[in-house]
Amino acid sequence: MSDNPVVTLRNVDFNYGATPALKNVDCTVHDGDFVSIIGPNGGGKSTLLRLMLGLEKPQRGEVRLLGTSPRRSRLRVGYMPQHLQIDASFPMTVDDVVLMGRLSGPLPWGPYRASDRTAAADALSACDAIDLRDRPFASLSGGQRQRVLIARALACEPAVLMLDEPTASLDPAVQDEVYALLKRLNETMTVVIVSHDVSVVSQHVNRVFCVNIHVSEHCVTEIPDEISRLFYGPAGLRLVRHDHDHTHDHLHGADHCE
Amino acid sequence: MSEFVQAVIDHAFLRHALLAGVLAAVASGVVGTFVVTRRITVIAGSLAHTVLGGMGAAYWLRTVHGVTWLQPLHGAIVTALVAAVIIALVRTHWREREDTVISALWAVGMAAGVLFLFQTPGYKADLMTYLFGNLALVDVSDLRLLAVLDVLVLGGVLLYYHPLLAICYDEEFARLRGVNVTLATTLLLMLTALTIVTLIYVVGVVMVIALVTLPVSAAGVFARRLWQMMILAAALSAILVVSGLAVSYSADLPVGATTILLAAGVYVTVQIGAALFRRRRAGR
Repeated sequence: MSDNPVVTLRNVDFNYGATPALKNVDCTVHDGDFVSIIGPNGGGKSTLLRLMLGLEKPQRGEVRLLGTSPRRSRLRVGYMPQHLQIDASFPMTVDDVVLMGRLSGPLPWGPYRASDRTAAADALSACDAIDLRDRPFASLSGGQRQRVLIARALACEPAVLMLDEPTASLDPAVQDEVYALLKRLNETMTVVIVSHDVSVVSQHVNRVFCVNIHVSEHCVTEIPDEISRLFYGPAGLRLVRHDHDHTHDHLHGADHCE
Repeated sequence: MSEFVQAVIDHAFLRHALLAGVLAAVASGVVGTFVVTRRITVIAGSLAHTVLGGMGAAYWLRTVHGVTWLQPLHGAIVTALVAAVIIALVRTHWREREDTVISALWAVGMAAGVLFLFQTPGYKADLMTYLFGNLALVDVSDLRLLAVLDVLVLGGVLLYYHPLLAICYDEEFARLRGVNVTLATTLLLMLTALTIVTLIYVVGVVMVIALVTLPVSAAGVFARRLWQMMILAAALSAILVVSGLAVSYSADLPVGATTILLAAGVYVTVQIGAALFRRRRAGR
């Protein structure tokens, strides 16, 4: 375990108006982790990600990102929103989308620099999407859009990637490709994703936060190889031990995995 | 048509009208592209109507109180900018009330304008001009002002194209890149406000919204990138304004209304054409 956690939440409460969204959350993301935030719809998954990014302020408790407040360190985060939030009719090429990751500052002016274009091209290459660069974003398939939005996040040259539902509405084969890409990126940076799909996520990530107003951590247990191969093919399967009490107040994201 | 060309050569007022129309069209095509893609046409409509308050006040001060240097356009600029800042602040800090504030500014601006104008003798012809446009009234000092507004608007877009594009496309991502969304939104709405002022002589405050949106939406069918859409929309707007002026001159019709109907015709034709084209391609 590293001494400098990437994200820490301490005793965090967050309400939307009078409705509590998250209660008494304690959790830590360490350097190099691949964390999946799972839980039922409306349970607060996206809210947890938004708190980590400083897009929402907790009513109680403290959020720290890369050793300081999220507002200060968010330039070092590569963020990907749910792709359905993005207006597909907007006239943008893939290049235009990825170059957005090179913006920085309150009101940047003038054209992008050559170094920005290089960084955007590198990010597209890393996501196997460089041949899409001149295509209109609207003409891409779901999987291609996800790759491009991940490339935009990478163009920020981030220390941590935070992705909201990177595999939503993709068919299983394309989901696997996206996870393989994220797994590869995880070799050099911390990755935090929100996902609705426990079974798929658990093959790839090393930690799972389960969010349903409270946040608790699950162990990711390896099934013995031969059984896994027998049932699920060479990719294998890892299960999430789902043995905690969701209604209980005192389970937080403490490391109760042995 | 040749009759119109001859008239333009013969009459200075037509040349002024033509130039004013083209200046307004270019600003409108460029800024209108942000307005349409960001889906803030209602804000543009509100800014346009609010402007009547400032024009009325300036007209009243000028006629009744002898503030002769004050032009109605000056009043329009100040009001439009103030309204833009108010809407930008409400939009970024009090989103749940945005709708109400936009509607309230719309009506309050109109009401103030009407009251000021009613307090001014001989207002009727001018009220009609402000509401529905009248390019024949443009003089050299107006043209100078319009040119300055065009330079400001186009310069602003050129300089801040990327952050403006970013807040229109994905505001949250822009915020996470450190972009000051309140500041960028204020800038966008101020550019929109100034553009609307340039359009007042062309179509009047009531119809501004159509000229800001229709040519842009038609251009959107052909454009793959935002700047292409801007150039296409500016060119199309200019063609529409010039055609509107020519038709209205030949047939003795009001310019504003003529231009709007031409724009609507082009918009509908382009949309139907695009739909048919898509169907044919899909059918193959």
